[in-house]
Amino acid sequence: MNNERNSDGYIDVHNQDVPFQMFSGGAHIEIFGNNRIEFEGKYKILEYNSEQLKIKRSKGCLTVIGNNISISNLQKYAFCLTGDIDSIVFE
Amino acid sequence: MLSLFRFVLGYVKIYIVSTNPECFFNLLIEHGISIWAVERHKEYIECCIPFKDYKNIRKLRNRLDVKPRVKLIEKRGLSVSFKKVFKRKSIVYGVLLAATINVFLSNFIWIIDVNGLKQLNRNLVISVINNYGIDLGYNRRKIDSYDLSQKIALDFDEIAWVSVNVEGSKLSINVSESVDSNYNTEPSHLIASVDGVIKEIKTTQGENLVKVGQTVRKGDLLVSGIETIGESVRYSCASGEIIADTNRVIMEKIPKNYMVRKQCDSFENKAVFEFFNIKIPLFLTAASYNQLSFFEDNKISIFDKKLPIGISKRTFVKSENICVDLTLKEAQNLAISRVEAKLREKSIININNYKVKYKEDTHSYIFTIDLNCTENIAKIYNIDI
Repeated sequence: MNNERNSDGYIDVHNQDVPFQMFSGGAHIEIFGNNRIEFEGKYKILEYNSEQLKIKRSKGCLTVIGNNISISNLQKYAFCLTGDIDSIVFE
Repeated sequence: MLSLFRFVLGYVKIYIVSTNPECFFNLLIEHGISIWAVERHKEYIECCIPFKDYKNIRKLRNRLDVKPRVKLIEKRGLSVSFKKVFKRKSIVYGVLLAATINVFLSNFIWIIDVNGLKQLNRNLVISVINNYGIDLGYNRRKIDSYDLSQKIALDFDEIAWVSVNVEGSKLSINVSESVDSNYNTEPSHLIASVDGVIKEIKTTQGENLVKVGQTVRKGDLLVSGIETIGESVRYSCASGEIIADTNRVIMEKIPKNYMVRKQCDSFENKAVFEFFNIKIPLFLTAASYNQLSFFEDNKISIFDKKLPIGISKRTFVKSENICVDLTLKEAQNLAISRVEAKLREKSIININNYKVKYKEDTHSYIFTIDLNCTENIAKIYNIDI
């Protein structure tokens, strides 16, 4: 890891080997076509039904809207969602 | 892979009825309970959780203000099935007992296999091994393969090489027989050992000099070891069988007062319970009659294989030596049976007919038996070159 700091004394997250989102606390989201989403990061479920899933993440909310939405795997820092996804909204 | 892992560990399928199931899910996730196959229906949510976490769910449920209703749909997986099985103690004990018996019995020899025999008898080799105390049911760890192979090789002159291997519960003896040491390698003829009329000729090597029906005298040349091919002479080891009808005269002396061992009516049975090498006597006193005994081995057998478990019974019969006055007919039968036993040792093929003459003195009968036999009269005669 490159520990060089900028003039303000912070580590420059853009100058690292790993994605800078790891330092910023952002979630890692992977979208496979329009029927599968894999989410990694801290989250809380706010609302879930067959048409939408709304989660609270560290920075704002994420809403997945679609049909027949089901959660194929739900773990502490990750979940996987399948179904016919129409849209993803970041708030 | 993940689904296989879940199946091995076991999981339960539940349905949750709640006005706010999201809170319940968040609570489960916070406590590290993984959830999968979540499907939302109109009135309930169906999902799967690990079998080990199912009990914790009920405790966690009580922490919520609005308690959701959780109901079990089904249990799945190997651990769930095993849990059902292991609840039945008899099955557990049965499995443990079977495993213990299996481990215990695998320490013993169950099969003795002898390979590579051509002329030697298998039972003879096995009986020699038995003399060293090794039999079915012998502890395989006590077998010294090298030592046993040396002993077998020393016991049989016919064996050139032997190896003993213990393969699991099988004692495998691989034998290589030596070439017959009596095999003649020097040039030789075949000559007649006795007078006779030739009946059959089976020559394998050498030049045949006689014909079927020909009368030969003792010492006559039958098969020559000197073969003439054109102008050259070749020496060989004449071999083969010359079968001829021969006449023999044998004298046999039978005493008039003949001592025989007579079996009495009283007998005693002594049984011994054998379990592998352990022999437990099933009697209290030692046998008092030790003249004649008959052994009866009643071992348990499965699929024609004898197990080293069973009861061996030895019957001790009281016997006494008595003096019998033989009649002429009895003495004659005894003389003939003795002569037959002697001829059998001399590899006589057949006794065609016999005439018996007898003389009698004060103590014995003297029989002169004139026999007409069929036998191999060929005898090796080495050539001096």
